[in-house]
Amino acid sequence: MKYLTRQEWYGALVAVLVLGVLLSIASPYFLNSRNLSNILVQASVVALLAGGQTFVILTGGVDLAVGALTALAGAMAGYMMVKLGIDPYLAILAAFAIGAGVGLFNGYLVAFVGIPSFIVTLGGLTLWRGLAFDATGGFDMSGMPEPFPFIGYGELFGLIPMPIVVMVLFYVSMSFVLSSTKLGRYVYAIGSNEMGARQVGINIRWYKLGVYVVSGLCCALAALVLIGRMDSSSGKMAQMFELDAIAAVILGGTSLFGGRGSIIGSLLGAILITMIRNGMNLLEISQFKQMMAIGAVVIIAVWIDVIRRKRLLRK
Amino acid sequence: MNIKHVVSRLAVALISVSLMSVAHAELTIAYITNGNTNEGWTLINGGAKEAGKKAGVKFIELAAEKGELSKQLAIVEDMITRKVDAIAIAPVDSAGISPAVNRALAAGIPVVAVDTNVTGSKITSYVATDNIKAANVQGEWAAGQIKDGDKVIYITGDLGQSTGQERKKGFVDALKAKRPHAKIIEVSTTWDQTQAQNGVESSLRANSDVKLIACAWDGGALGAVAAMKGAGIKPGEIKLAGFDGSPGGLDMMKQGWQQANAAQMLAKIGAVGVETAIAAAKKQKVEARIDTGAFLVLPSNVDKFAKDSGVAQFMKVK
Repeated sequence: MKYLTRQEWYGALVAVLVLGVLLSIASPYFLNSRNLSNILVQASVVALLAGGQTFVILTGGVDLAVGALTALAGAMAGYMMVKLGIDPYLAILAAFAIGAGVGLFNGYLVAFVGIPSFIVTLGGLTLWRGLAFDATGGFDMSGMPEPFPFIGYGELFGLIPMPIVVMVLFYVSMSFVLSSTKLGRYVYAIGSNEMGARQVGINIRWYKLGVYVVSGLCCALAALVLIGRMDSSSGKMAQMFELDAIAAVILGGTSLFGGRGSIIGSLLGAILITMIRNGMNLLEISQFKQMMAIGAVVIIAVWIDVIRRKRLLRK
Repeated sequence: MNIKHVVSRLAVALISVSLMSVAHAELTIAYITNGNTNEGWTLINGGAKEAGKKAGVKFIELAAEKGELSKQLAIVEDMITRKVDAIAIAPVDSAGISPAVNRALAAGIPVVAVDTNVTGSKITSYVATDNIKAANVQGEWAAGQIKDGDKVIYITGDLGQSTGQERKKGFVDALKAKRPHAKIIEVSTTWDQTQAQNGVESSLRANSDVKLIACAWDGGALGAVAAMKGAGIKPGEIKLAGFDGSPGGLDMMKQGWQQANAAQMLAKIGAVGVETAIAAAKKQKVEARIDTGAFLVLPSNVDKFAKDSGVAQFMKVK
C-alpha cells in the first residue's frame, strides 16, 4: 500500500476512480462495457501524444507542436494514399519519417542551438500546420485504404478495439524504454539536474535531441490512429491536441519542472481527461462549460504540481 | 470544508441531476452542432431548440469544441451510449463524421443531417438550403450588375465541405452562363472572417478595378467590408452580394454596403431538422432530402424579410 501511495501517478489513479464512481451515480449510461471501451478508444490519440510528451517534459522541456505535427503527418499520409495512390505501408513509413524529421529539427534547435523548447515548438505549432495545409492544398482526403479502417475501427479477436491495442502496446514498450534503457534513465537525470548530468559525463545534447525524436514519432503514430478513426485526413485535424496531451502528462503527476514523473501517469491522465469530456457529454453539459472545465482542470493540476515541488524543496 | 463534504455534496447534486433526466420517459433527441458560434448558427440552433421545446421532447444540445472532428466523433459515440431516440447533426466534416454516423444508424438511431450533408452514410434525411439553387440566385443577380469581362471577387467557404463546394459552383455557374468572360478572383477561406478580410485586402491591392464581391457566407462579407473600409472604398462603390441572410448581413445592407443577399431560412433549417429527427424517432416516414428554400433579399424588401424570418431581433441597425 505504501508503495502505491508513494507513486507519482497515485493521485491520477484516485481521480480516475473517484470520477468513475461519481459518473456512475450521475448517469445511468456511464458504467457499461460499451461506454468504458469508448472512453479508452477516445483517449487513445491523446494518450499516444502524452506518451511522447512525457519524455520531453521529464527533461524539463515542453512540446507545443504535437497537435500541428500530428496534422502534418496525418494529412501527408492521407494525401499520399488517397490523392497520389501510394501504397498505405509506404505512407505509414513516410508519416514516421516526417515525425522523426520534425523531431530532429526541434531537438537540434533546443539541444544544440540552445533555443528554449517553448519557443521552438510554439513556432512549430503554426509552421507545421501551415505546411500541412500547404502541402495538401487545404483539401480533406477521405476513404482511407486498408489497414486504416482496421486500425481505426477494427477489433482484435472481434473483441478489443484496435486503438486500445495500439495504446496498450505503446505504453508497455514506452515504460520499458523509460525504466530499462540508457535514454530513459538519462532523461530523468537531465530533468532533475542538468549540470550534474553533464558533469558525470552524460552527453546531454544527444539525449535531449532523442526525446524530441521520440515525441515526433509518437505524433506520427497518433496521426495514423486518428486518420483511421476519422476515415479522413486534413490539415485541420488534431486542433489544440497539445493542450490535452500536456494536461494528461501533468494530471498524471509528471512535474512540469522535469525530473519527476511516470509514463503510466500520462496514460491515466489521458483517460481522466477523456472521462471528463465523456461524462459532460452524457450529462448534456454545453460546449462552453466543457471548454472552461478542461482549462480549469489544467490550471489546478499545475497548481498541485507547484505546491508539491515547494514541499519537496523544503524537505 | 473538508474533502469528504465536497464529494458528498457533489454526489447529491449529480444524483438529483440524473434522477431528473430519468424522470422523463418521452423521446430524447440529440442535436449536435459543429461548434460555430456566429450569428447564422445562433439562428439555426435557436430554431432547433425552439422546435424541440414545442414538440415537448427531451432535447440535448452538444457542440464539437473548436469545430474539431474527433471531438464530434466522440460526442456521436457518447450519444449512442446515451441511447437517444434520434440524432440531428450539423457535421464538422461531411466525410469524416460518416464512421460515427454509420455506427449510430447500425444501432437503430435515425440520423438527420442539418445544413451540411454526410457523405458515405445512408442517413435518414438531409435538411438544408439547396445551396446550388440559392447560389444560382446570387450568381444571376451578380451577372445583372456587371458587364462581360469585369472582375469579380468570390470569397469561398471551406472547399473541403459540400456546403462550400456547392455555393461556389452555384454562383460561378450562374454568373458564367450570362457573363462567360467575367474574371473571377477567388479568395479561399475556411469560413473564417479574418482570412476573408486578408484575402480581399490583397486582391483589391492587385486589382483596383474589381466591380463586385460575392461571398459564400455573411461572415465573409463582414471581412470584405472591413477590407473595403481599409482601402478607402465607400459603400456601394464595389457591389457586395452576401449569402445567408444573417443579422450581420442584413445590417450591412441597411448601411448600404450590401446590395443583395441570398438568404437562407436559417431558423427554419434548425427547426425542420429537429422536427424531422422527431418524426423519424416516432418511426414516421421522412423525405430523404428537404429543401428549406432561399430568398433574394434586396434593399427594397429587407425590412419585411428581417421581420418575417425573425432575423430582425438580432439586428443592430433598425
